[in-house]
Amino acid sequence: MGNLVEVILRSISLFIIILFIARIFDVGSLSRKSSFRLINYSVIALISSLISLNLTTLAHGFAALGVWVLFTLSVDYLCVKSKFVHDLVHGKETVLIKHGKVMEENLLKIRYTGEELLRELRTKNVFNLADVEFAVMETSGEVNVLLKSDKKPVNARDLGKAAAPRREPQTVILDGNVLDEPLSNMGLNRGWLKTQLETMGIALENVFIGQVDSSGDLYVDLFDDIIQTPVPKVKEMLYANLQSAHADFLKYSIESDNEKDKSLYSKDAYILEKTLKKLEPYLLR
Amino acid sequence: MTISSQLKKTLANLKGIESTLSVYYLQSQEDDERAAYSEAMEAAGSVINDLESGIRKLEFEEPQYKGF
Repeated sequence: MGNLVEVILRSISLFIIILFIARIFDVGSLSRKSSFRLINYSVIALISSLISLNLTTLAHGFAALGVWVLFTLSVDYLCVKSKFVHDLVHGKETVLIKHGKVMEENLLKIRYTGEELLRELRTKNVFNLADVEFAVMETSGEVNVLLKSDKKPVNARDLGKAAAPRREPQTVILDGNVLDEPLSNMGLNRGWLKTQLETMGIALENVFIGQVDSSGDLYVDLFDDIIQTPVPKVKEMLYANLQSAHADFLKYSIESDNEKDKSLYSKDAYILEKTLKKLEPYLLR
Repeated sequence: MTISSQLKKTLANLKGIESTLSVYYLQSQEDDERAAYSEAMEAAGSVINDLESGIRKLEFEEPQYKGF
C-alpha cells in the first residue's frame, strides 16, 4: 500500500516538474525537428516515467533527468553562440534544385529518391518540376521551394498598383469578454467599442470573436450562427459616395448657364476625381 | 427635382463624406494613410465651400428655395 502511495506522489510531482521543463523547451524548440532533439526529448520522457513508476531511486532518477535537461539546454545555447557547434549538431541545408536543375549528387548525400523529392514538392503545392527555380532541404528535414518568377502568384506590385500598407488586426473581443490591451494598441477604448456595437445593433454578450483591422473597422462573429452579420462596407460606401458626388458636379457643370459656374463646378469635379484616385488604394484594397 | 434640392442633396452627401473621412483619419495608425485622408478632407472642405456659395447665390436669386 505504501508503495502505491509513493508511486502516486512521484507521478504527481513528476507531472508538475515536466510541465515546467516542457515550457522551458517549448519556445521554438518543438518546431525544430532534428534526430538529436527527438532522442533527447524521448530520453527525458523515459527517465521521467521511470522515476514516476518507482523503478529507480529518486536520487538516480533526478540526477539523470537533470543532466539530460541541462545538457540539452546548453547545446541549444552553444548552437546560438557558435556557428561551428551549430553546424556540428544540425548540419547544413542541402540544395536540392538549383536554377531549375535537380542536384542528383546532393540527393544521394541525403539519401533521398526522386520519388521522395517529388512528394515533398507536392506538399508545397508544386506539381510540376518545371515550375521550380530553387529548392532546399532544411536541417529540420523540411523542403522549401522557390518558384520561377512567372509561376509565382501575382501580387499588387506586379500589376503596378499601389496597395495600402496593412497592419496586423487586433482581436478585441473573445468569448463575450472585451480585451483592453489590444484595444489600446489600436488607440481605441471600450466607449468606442460600445458605440460600434450599438450601431451594428449587437449586444456584447452575443459576440464570440471581435476583430478590428488596421483601419479601425470592426468585424464580429456571433454565438448564434443563424444571424448574418453584415460585413462592414463603410469604405466601399465612402468610395461610392465620392463617385456620385463627382458625377453630380459634372452634371452641374454641364447644366450651368454662365461660364463662372461652369468652371467652378468642373474644377470641383476635377478635385473629387483626384481625391478618388488618391484614396483608391486605401478604400478598395 | 429642382436644381436647388439637387444641390442640397449633393451638399449633404459631401458633408457625410467629410465626416466619414475624419473618422478614418482619427482611427488610422499609418502616416501615409492619415496623410491621404487629411488631404481628402481638405479637398472635400473646399468643394463644400464652393457648393455652399453656389447654393447661397441661388437662394439669393430665387428666395422661394431658401432653407430645407
